[in-house]
Amino acid sequence: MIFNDLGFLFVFLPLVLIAVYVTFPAEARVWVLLAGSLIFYCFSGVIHAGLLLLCILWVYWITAPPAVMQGNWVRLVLAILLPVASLLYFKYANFLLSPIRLLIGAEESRHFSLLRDVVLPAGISFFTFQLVSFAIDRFRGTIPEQPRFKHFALYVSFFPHLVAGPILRYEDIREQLLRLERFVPASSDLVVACGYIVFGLFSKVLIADIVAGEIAPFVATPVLLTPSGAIYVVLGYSFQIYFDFYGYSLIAIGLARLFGIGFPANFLRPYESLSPREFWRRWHVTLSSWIRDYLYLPLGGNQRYVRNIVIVFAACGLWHGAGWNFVVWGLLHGGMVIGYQLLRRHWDRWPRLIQWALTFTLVSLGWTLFLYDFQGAADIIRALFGAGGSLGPDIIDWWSLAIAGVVCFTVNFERLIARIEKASRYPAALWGALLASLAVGAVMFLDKTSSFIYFRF
Amino acid sequence: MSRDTLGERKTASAGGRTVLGAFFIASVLLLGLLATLRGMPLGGDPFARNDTLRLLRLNNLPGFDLAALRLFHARQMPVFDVAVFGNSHAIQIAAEDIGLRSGTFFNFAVPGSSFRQSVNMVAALDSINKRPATIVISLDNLALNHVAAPEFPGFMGRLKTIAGDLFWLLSHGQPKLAAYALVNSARAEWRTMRETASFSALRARASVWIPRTVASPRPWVRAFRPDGSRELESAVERKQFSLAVQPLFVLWRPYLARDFDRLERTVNGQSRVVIYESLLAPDIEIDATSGTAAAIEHLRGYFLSLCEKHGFECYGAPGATSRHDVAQWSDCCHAPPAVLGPRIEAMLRNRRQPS
Repeated sequence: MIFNDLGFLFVFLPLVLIAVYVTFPAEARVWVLLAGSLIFYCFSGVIHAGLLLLCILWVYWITAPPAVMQGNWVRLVLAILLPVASLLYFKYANFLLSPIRLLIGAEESRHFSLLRDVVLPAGISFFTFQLVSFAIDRFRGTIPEQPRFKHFALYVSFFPHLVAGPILRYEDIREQLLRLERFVPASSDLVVACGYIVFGLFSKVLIADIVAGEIAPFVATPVLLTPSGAIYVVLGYSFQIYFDFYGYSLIAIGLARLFGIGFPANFLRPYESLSPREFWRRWHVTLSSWIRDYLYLPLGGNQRYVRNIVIVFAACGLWHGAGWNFVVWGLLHGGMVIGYQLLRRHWDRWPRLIQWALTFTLVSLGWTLFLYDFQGAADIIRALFGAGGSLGPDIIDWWSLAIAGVVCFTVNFERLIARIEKASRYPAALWGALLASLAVGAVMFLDKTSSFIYFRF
Repeated sequence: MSRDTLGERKTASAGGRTVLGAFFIASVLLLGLLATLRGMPLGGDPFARNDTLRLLRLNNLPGFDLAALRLFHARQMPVFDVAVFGNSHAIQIAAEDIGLRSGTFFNFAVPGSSFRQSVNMVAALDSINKRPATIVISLDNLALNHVAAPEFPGFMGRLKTIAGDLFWLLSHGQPKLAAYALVNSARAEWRTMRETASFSALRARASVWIPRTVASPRPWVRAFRPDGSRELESAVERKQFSLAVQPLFVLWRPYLARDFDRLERTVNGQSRVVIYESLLAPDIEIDATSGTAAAIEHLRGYFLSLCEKHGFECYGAPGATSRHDVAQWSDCCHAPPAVLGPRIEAMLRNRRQPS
């Protein structure tokens, strides 16, 4: 089940809201929400839901004794063993064994029956990182007291962030989880939630999916593209992945707000960044900060800058997907960040427009490694330099990209939601009507929408 | 929201309630508006001029909307001399295919519809005094045993048809079939209601007037023509046709009898009615085993006897035509205009009561 699904919006969500808010006694609300979240995950596969529950129980059990956990390396390794092993098996086993397969040949590799037809559990990278961060925080003493099981389990499995983030720390939502039993949504909570959900659906259904549909015929044949066709694909996919993931994050924030839980922002207008380093402070913020706190700083941080940047960006690429194209994408970004650091004195003096254009172009070109394998990415680069074919977009084909660009660079949804929240009576009615128009428009296209790109991570 | 003073909190809260109220009211109104667009000829009569792009997008519409647009066109025009009714097996017939000039002819066929719906369409035209002088109805080849439930006219009209069906079956001593028909009609009504509220249908309606609301029809889909006809789709695969008796087969006989009765009452002898059994490609082999072929022959006899009873001119499907014709057929069941047109032209010219 996905957020841009009629069944989710009109059946699952209302049922969970009703179940949570009519539950008596209110102390049971957390359990009800936990059950709802697990049911939500069961739609991705009952076995996968079982794995999630097992990982939750495992980490909770290992990290439970307060005095023993802090500074205890054995317990830390034990705690993260199961979630990390699950991640390795489900996501990376085939990738890690691919050299062996190459060596022994395709015929012999058929005997690896355990790895055949492995279905990746939705959002496994996200919940594994949350479990690991919890175990490390317990080890470091950042979470001095073990939370109650229901709060911990809900922290990991809360359905708005379960399958595509944001990647939360327990401390981010601890207070709000404790308050859930007393939470009564005010009209302002509902307005904000509604705003986030509607703008999220608008971003996903009416921008990302429409752009995806428009560029699809060109994406399918990179070798045939003219330079304008290649630019069309690169720009189009750049906007598609932005609005796809941004839309998801907005919906997640809105859904969580319905239960009185505030998620941290995951996007800070990343395409307005003036340098690759700034981009990573604005794009998928919760992943960047996770990598900084749990990988980059323990490696020594800025003390061995180049080595550590290479390691964390390779890991970041690998986190996104089990494939060499993702690793290279990560290393490309690492190289961009290092390059910026080397050129920083000059770069920062250039006109802002050039800084922005360079950053946006490099980032957009990088996404081609998300879209294609190496061959496809090379075809796109060749086409950019005029060595492709004759397939290019007409002027009319640019309309969806033009709209996406205007929305991306001129509309600030978070600021709009803040304005709507504070609006007095008459503007409020207009805002309500605007939200309704966007909602109806998005809902009309729900049957044609696709899954979120980040679900496969 | 500022929480400095109670007054500010109240103001913000009132604003929040207004946003939510406006959101829900506007959502309901917008969805209601879109649902009522069903069959509403927004932007005028699409058949009035040869706007190919708009006529192409009519292909996205559900049958109900297409039927409503055809009726709207009939309203604007003088009574047609000749009109063809049916489904995709008859929609390809243009005025010139049967030797007529445009303006005197209109093709009212709605893809996916059945003989029952053709009769409903004739009744709807009659109710607005636009019943054509000559009515040509395509009856699906009996091998196809297609008995789709009517999805037009509106809800009350459909209820009237269902009630009439049940009364007919009960009065003809067929209570079991009446129960069966009731269940099937309820199912069909549920499908129709879902279709009304379906988002793809709503979007398709919008697409006729707002470009790119849905993807353009696939390349092999052809635009409608101002005389209501539509060229045959070119890329339909020519598959082996397999025949099996479908569940609704049992309702075929009583429904046909009832529909002939309705048609006679509607026309009341004031229009010429020609009904022909649609053609199948000559190289299609119908399995003669399991009694299916015999059942078809039996139904054909029944169809022709009903025609005699009600005074309509009827034509059963002939045997295999010449080998030359085979190459013209792009699929099993949609006769090319070059084959069907002369046949209908001959029917119109003959003005005889065939046996």
